[in-house]
Amino acid sequence: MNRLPFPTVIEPDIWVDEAIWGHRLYDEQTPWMTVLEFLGILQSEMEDGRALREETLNTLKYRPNRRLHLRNILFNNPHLEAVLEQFPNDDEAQWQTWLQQMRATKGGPEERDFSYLRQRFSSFKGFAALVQFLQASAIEGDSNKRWTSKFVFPYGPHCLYEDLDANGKTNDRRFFGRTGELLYRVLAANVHDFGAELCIAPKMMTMTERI
Amino acid sequence: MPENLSHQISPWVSFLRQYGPIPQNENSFDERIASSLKRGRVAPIRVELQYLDELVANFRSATPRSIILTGTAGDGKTFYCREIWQQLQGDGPRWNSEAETQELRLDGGLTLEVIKDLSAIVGEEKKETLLRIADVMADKVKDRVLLIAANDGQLMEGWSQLNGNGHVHTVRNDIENLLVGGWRAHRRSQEHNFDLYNLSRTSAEKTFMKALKAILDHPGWARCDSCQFQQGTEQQKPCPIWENKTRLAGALMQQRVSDLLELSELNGFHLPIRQLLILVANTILGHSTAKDRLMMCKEVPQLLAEGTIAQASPYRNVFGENLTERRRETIEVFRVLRRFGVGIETSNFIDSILIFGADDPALHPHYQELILSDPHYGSDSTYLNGQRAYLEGGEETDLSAFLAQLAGQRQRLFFTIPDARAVEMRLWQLTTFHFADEYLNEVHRVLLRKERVRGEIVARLVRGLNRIFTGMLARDDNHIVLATSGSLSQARVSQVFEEFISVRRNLGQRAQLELAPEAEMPALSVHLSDKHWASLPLNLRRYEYLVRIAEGALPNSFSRECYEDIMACKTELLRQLAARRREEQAEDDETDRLTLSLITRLNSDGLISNPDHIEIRMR
Repeated sequence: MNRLPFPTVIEPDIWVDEAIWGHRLYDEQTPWMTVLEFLGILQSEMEDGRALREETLNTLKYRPNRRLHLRNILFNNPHLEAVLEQFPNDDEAQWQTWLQQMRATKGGPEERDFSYLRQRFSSFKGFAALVQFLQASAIEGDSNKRWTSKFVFPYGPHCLYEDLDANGKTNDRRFFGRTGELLYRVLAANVHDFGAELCIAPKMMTMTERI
Repeated sequence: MPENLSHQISPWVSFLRQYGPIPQNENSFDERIASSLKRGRVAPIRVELQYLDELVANFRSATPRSIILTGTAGDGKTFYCREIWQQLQGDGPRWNSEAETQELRLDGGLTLEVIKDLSAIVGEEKKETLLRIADVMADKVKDRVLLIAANDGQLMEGWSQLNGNGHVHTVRNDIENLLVGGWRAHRRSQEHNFDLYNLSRTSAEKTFMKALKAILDHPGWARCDSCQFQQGTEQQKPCPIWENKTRLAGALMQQRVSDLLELSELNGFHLPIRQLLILVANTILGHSTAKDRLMMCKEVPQLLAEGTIAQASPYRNVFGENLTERRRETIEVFRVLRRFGVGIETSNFIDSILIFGADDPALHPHYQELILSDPHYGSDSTYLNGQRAYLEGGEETDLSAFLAQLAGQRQRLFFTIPDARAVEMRLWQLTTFHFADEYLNEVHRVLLRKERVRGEIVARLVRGLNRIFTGMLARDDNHIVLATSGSLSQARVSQVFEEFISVRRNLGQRAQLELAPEAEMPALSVHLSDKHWASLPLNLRRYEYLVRIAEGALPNSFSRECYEDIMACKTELLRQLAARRREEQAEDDETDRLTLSLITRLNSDGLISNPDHIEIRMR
């Protein structure tokens, strides 16, 4: 095994940490953030057909989804209640006003047209109730994080996306500090021990508890 | 005082004292009592044994079956063995309390082998004994029957080390099955030649009444009639031992103690007969300053002279208040009874009477009835003085002594407020379980009589259930609301509506109280259809929890265990609902639409009457 050279610049205890864990174990990442980061990576790698398989070491390269439309509707959308109150019982006005306000809001995708939603719901009220429900059941939903760091409960693959900076442009690693990536790599390294048909869940639970 | 009376030292009282919580009362209880009987010239305490007659009849019959007696320590297994032996003895050898096994020739020619304590046999001898047991029970040995006593935990020990023949294995499994299945005390093996009696399955309140009767009716009390202290005089209070015995003979006190014991059983705490004898002995003899904290006849004149009779209050002794806290905690019966919190729990009304009743004209009639009417343990001078000091004293007065007396008074009131006044006085608010009375008298006993429980009671439980299921302060009580959180299972609020289940019988749906199938306690059974149902056994703790929630308390003011129990029931109901839906194929066939029902708010009556159905077109 290769040995790391003895440190000359940094303090020795940090060096020991890094020698064991690499520089990616970010100890303030909450279990939920770790799991979500991990699931995002898993999803991305699955789409490329190589979930938990790393043919050569240190070649992990993934591109998690951003899903900015969904995130704008759920977490960058302070207009819902105002619209409902402003135009009670006027479905048309509610949709019109809301769509207009969303178009004017900053952040996320360049194309800010949400009018496709009208075809999916029979009323604005129902749409609003669903959005409020998803907001209420969001992960760590009562925190006051920036909207780009809020996460919907992972009901399925369409709910997975990565943490972004406040403009929704790049991952600034504030809440996805790569601990989930470490989790992914530990699992990938052990994949042969588990057999091809993974029973990831229990292993993952113990992992996240330790983290 | 009649002149011909003198102070009597009753050997019976000394004998009874041995049953109390004295330090020596630890191991080999029956054996020690037996030797003390020989010395003491006292007739033994004869508690009527429920199964004695049928057991003796079994061994006298032409084809006797072997018997296993099991139960926890103190359930009377050794006592049963000795009593059976003595009834069958005839000209045979006497019972030898030292021997682990002993044999007796029965009239039919068979040999009866009594194994008094299977767990005391170890090593090679244990293996031989177990093989012999298997042989007899599987009818391989035909000239022998067995009577075996063993603690329920130890009955199955040692069998795994036997590499015997097939029949050893089947006998072992048979014993295990009889031991764990069902709640009946007497279970008969279908495959082998033995019966099993689990003495822990006999309910404590019935045994208590028998033990109490045996002690109160004991001939040893006759000696007291010629004692100068038995009856008090104007100058002197009567003997506290006799006074306590008389009070314990009162129907009301017996009923309340018996209720507490029955409720304990329903909460899952079984009390064996040895513990119940400790309870009775301590109630009669307890006193905080007597030697070993149990009175003896020779101490009585001094206690009377010191004026500390109030410390012998039987109402405090029931909860072991005469003992040190450390001692009390080692004794099961006191640990169990103290869970009711009698003395600590109270209501403003009761405390107002106890503290202000002497001076407040509105409360004085109650004060007269509840405190002044009992000069012995109620309006004792120490209490009256403490009360005055409490009301008049400044901040520097030490109140701890008075507060302890106050607790003692509440304990007394719990046993003395008559049934007719119980509702008005809110008697059960003197315990941790405010609805224990309703649970016992209007649910459990009603079900035992095979009658129906009142609809309002079911409705209130359903309301509590709905509040826990949804996490909302709903008032719905004519249907059960099944809802999920839509995210993780620990979420407190469940907004995603799944189904209503009608409480009144409707298309196979119903919710009703019945006796739980595997335990003798009430259960709320909820039917989603004729085939799909779930049952929630209601011990006292869960019942109190549901009712308190229904009355407006918040779930997290109770133990997490109760909450988890109810949530487990909800999970089971949701599982049954999924099964029913699969059978009905009620899932929407259309795949391009998704409907989500949300409980967004309660209506103006506080009901979850109308969930919002949100339809989403997927393409």
